[in-house]
Amino acid sequence: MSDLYTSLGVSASGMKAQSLRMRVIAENIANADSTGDSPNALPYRRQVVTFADELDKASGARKVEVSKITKDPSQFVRKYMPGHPNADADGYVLYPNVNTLVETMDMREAQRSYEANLNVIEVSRMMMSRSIDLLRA
Amino acid sequence: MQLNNLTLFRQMEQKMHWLSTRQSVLAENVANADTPAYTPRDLKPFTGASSTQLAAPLIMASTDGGAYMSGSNGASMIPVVQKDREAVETSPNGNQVSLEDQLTKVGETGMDYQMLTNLYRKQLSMMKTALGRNTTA
Repeated sequence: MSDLYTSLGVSASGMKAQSLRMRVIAENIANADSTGDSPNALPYRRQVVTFADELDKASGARKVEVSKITKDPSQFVRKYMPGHPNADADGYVLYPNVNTLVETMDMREAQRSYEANLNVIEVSRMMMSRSIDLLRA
Repeated sequence: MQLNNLTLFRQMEQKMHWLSTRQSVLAENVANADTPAYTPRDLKPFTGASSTQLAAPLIMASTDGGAYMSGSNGASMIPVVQKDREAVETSPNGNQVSLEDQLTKVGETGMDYQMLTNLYRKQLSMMKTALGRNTTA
């Protein structure tokens, strides 16, 4: 039975990691058009979540956690918008390096992984309740 | 009466232990489905008891000596965790977990567990019939 409890904990850690990833993706999408607040200020920089497996010392299981949230170092998008209040002398505005399509794909992946963990929890729960039902046999 | 002294019950218990350990290993794999450089793990296939282990209950039938109290002597099957040999796909970040495979295994484990708890209950009700105080079956 303790193995099943462990598996619940592991799956829960997976769900937690995926929902944090979801939060970061939401931040990216929400800020897809956030330019800097003055002509030379930098716009919002895309964030990337990295996972790592971590040994849970209490149960000996390999849980998952978000190891770090890093900034995407790729180049900003430069758009020619002379009428923009934050445009530089040449009329260009820096836009965030967020590609909404990439974020949407990432979001789908997070959703699928979340569902997979949920599935495992359901099966573990079924196994536990079947074991408890043996007492009624 | 100790149910574990009966070969069938002992084997069922071992298999259930094996299945719940496997469930927690599979949960680790699913939780780490997006962790870079993670390799999935699985248990060594369940082999059940060998013929010498099957003969063990006959030895334990003797009432003299401590052997009677010791329960199963060396017949216990300890689940061994090993690298998942079926993992062949590697994603660009070095992760080798195939979510489909893992979820198939989770489903398999859940169904096997269900079968075992059913078997356990049936066997128990058969024994109750023999004892003459079973009303349902």
